[in-house]
Amino acid sequence: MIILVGGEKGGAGKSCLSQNLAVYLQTKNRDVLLLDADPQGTTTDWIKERDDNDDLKDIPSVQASGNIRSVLKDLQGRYQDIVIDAGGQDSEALRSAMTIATHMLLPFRPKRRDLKTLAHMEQVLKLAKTVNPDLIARAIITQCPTLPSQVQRILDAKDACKSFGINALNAITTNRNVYDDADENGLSVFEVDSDLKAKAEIKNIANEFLGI
Amino acid sequence: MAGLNGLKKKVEISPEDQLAEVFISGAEKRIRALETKEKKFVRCTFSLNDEVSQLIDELIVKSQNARVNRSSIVRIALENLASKSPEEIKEIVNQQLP
Repeated sequence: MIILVGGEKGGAGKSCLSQNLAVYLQTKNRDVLLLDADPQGTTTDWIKERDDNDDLKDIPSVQASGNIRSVLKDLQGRYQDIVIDAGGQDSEALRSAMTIATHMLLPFRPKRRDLKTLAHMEQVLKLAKTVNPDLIARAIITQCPTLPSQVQRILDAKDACKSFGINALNAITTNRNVYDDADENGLSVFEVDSDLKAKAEIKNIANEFLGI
Repeated sequence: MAGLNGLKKKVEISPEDQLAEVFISGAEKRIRALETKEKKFVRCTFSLNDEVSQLIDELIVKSQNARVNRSSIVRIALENLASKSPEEIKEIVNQQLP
């Protein structure tokens, strides 16, 4: 599988999801490569911190930018899964990955500024599917508030996604400190014991979206 | 290579790859569209009669766009004229200025 985590809005949690999904897939004994296509290099920095920690299992990674279609074509035969962290804007890297990916996860926070990018992503996805008709694309609502009074906000965000033809997963991620704390030490939520709910959130995404 | 680089038969790009390249290159247009425009405006003076001046105001109302102003109507009209062929421009101008 080639799993692309991308979208047009920065800060929605693309790097965080990519990293945690990569670790989760590795715990399932899958041969995973993490490809950082974000010029900001957030995932590459995370990998460096991870490599420095001898207690953690290394995740093979590579950084690439621009048109990565040929890079992905070359790599897809060498790994069982490739997780791509694409930067938070429409870019050559994002589009070229969309032409090859099997799965695309589009994170949106339940905020107007994030959901406003749906219209453009709908157009980009339509074009991508003319090149890659098998691409399975789903939205994921991220950093959701945990207050019960805010449930409607999450449902509205999912409805907005659906109206643009990008169905949202039932699974969500919530606003939990563990995502940020783990990231800082090159860890994933699976390697800290403080928050079991965050682990369950990532597992739910992988189960629902990837069937793993 | 004795100066004979680049003479091998080029690998032809498949129609699928060509389609992909067109799609991928679209990102650049989007990024350009999102960039802050730094247009410089020049203040010009030219004379209009009342009829043409009123026509500009009418076109603003008909366009039903909150962002349109008198300058943009003039600009749009000029861009439309400029999109015509030289023969058409000649014909239109000569019709208006006998």
